[in-house]
Amino acid sequence: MSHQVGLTFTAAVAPGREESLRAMLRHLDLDPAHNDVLPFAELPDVHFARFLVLPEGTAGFGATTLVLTVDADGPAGPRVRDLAEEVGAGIDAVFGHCAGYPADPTSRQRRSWLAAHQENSEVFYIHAVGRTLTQILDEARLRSAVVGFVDAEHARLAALDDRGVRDAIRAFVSETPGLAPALEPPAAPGLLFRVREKSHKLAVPALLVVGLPIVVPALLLWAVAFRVRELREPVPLQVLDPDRLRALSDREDFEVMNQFTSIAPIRPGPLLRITSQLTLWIGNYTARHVFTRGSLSGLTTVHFARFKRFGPRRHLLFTSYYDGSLESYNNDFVDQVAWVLNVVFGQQEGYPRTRWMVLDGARDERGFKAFIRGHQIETQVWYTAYPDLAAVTLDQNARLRAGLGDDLDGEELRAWLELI
Amino acid sequence: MARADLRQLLRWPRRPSARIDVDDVQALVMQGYGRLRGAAYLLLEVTDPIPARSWLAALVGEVTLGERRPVGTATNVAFTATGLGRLGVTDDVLAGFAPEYVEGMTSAHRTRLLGDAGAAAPSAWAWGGPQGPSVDVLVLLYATTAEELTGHVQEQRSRATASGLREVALLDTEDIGLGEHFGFRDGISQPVLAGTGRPSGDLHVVAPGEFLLGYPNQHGQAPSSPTVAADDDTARLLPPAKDDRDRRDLGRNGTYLVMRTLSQDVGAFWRYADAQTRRADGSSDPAARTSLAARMVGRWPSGAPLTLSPDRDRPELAEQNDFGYHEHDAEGFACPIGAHVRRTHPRDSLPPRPGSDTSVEVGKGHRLLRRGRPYGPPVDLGDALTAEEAGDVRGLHFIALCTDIARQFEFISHTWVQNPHFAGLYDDSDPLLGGHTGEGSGFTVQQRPVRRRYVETPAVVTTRGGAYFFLPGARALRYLSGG
Repeated sequence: MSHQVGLTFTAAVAPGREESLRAMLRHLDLDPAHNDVLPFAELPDVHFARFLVLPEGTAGFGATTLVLTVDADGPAGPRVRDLAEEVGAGIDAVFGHCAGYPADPTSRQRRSWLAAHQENSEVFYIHAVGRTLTQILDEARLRSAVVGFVDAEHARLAALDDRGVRDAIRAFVSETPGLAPALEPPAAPGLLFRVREKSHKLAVPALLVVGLPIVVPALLLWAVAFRVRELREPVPLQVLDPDRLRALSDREDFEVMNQFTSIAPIRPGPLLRITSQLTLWIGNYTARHVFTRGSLSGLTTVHFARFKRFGPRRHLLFTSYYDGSLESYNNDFVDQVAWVLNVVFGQQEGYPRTRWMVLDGARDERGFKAFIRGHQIETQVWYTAYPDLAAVTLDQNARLRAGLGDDLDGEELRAWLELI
Repeated sequence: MARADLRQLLRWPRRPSARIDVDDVQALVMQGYGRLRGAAYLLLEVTDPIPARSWLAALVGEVTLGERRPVGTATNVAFTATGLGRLGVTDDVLAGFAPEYVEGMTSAHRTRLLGDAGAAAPSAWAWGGPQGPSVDVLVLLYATTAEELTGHVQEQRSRATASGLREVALLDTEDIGLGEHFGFRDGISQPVLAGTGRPSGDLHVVAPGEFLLGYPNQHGQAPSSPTVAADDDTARLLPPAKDDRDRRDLGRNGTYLVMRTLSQDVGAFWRYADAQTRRADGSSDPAARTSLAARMVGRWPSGAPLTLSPDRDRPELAEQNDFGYHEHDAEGFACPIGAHVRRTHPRDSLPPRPGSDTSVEVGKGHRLLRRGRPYGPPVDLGDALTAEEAGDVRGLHFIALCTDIARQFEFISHTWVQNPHFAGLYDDSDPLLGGHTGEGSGFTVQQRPVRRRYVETPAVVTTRGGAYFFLPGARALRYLSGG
């Protein structure tokens, strides 16, 4: 079992090939999971993937640019190998539109080309760190079977006490072929990964403490300068083009989950560049060590989300997979976690005015919603390995499975039974 | 300063109190005309804009405004985006209206948000669908009795059709008392506009900008409002726009009106409840049947909330509306989590921090003023259980008012009503409004030791028509009629 990795492959589209590339992506988009070119479902460890075509000039790119993002169970090496081997022909067909892609590559050439065009993201939020695709699919199967069992046997189960119901469910699981492994806990991420994360978790605060004499005055200076900028900078309300808005929303709300992509410049000047760097560090640290167990500061609808500085002009590329409509996603931000958004999006062009970085900002509902749609770009193709599973459902499934093995009693047992 | 106050100060932009300019507001916003028992809705198409504007100019003086209870009859008027276009509103002005309104209820995307699939798909609608005639204008007509209504309708329709408008449909309503056709008391829970001085618990007092353009909403902001160039309002009918000296505010004192004709299959609803609750010998169990039906609704037939009276109907609680779900019943053992009224108005039960004031405040961003009325003859339970009726015999002309269609009406529909995972449910649909999308196949009743899930719940409500309208203020009406 393993931790998750967020991979981004970027390549310039060869002159004259853009139309053909777009046509091919439209073909993939008809059935991202099982199309005959690049069937994402054949990649056994990939949760999500997407293709973007960025017009020349986006983020300072000198040519039309193709981007592939893959959110998968790590480590990265084997996932690149899977792309090169499991769906190699599809990779050739798509990236064959890019400048410098080898003609008729061997699997090894393909791998090294992909690896050479791969970059990591600065911030990588994972709803539940360490929960692999295999675990997700196994637990979904378990939940479905247990729900079906309780539906069918309700009359008998209703006459039992809490413990009796639980024993009946356990017996059903252990007797049903294919479900028995759920009685064991899922494997934890590898030791190396855990050691690395633990060291990072401790090392960062330790370094900050050591650096206090420098850090504190620097932060004070920064805070004053930032506050002055907040007060002085004009924030124009973004005007949205209805046709573009409609083109974006026409591709939304087919499944339980949606995807979102935005690219936005940081506002000019060194202060915001430094601030952006600072908040990416904070974002990275909190995503890795704080918001790791099913909740982004109380928000339970985001599966994966990433920030990446991108392109010659270092714009911020944001990609996410979330449950529900963009309207509900935005409402959650405005109503519940405005401060998180203020910190991580606040340096981008057009962001509503913040106060001391964390206050106001996204609380300006109109300004924030216009900002979000304003920088959103179309995603040409996106794939999810579990279109029907909401993030909260994944959490319930995991608790159902965990509780099967634990010895529960009293309130804990009742809470577990309420999951079903 | 108490911590809660401090939090409030940091969290919520302070709201300037705003006096509502009620005499410029169509009265339907302020009241449901409960004493006017007759109502009909006239749907019109604009065929010739110049006489249609004259018709409107003559109508403006008769439109019922303000808070005073009208005597005899009442008249209100609203327009779709196509209707405003046909009356001469230019595209750049239309672009200032809500995108959902301009796009219309029947676009593929909005259809997904509203669950209008299968038998409820717009292609099968009686009005407002893509194949039918354009619905441009809605005239809402009310009168004390059915007889008076007939005269009122006849006069209004002949005046309209003689003046550049064509009748698309006349939607009748039926006075069936305080209930709806399934047999439950309806319309109990309504938000109250802050500043209107009506008595209500804090739970239901909502910022006026949620229901009227031009006033602060729950976020302390004036909702987005359409404007016209000051030069186009030579008669200076409209108030100045807030942030732009060269524009004038066409939206102020207006609101959006969502209308849907919802056909109710009363027989299918009760037959399902009956079949699920039969005794071991196969006979019907009326008490159990009513109990399951009440669980699907969330209130008993009298209106008494299950949350306060889980085991039996208590008519003395019929109008009881001051309760939270989390505070009494977080697990859903009294009122199931997926019950219709709990889905459509979850009160204090959703994040952030269920049970807290913050949860209630966030929920107030998703309220609707409901103004609909039933249509079609009532049916008694015995007939409903035995006889199958074909076609659209009865239902509800659902009407809701709000200033943000996306955050209010569509959010409630998509994030709560149509969401199979609402509040952590596994795969359920709204027991009244669901069933057309193929998602969500059950209804769960939370209980000890383990929940009971009713599966293959039937679709009992089917959308048969609908459109997004704009209900302008009086000055805007005058402007639209050409001054």
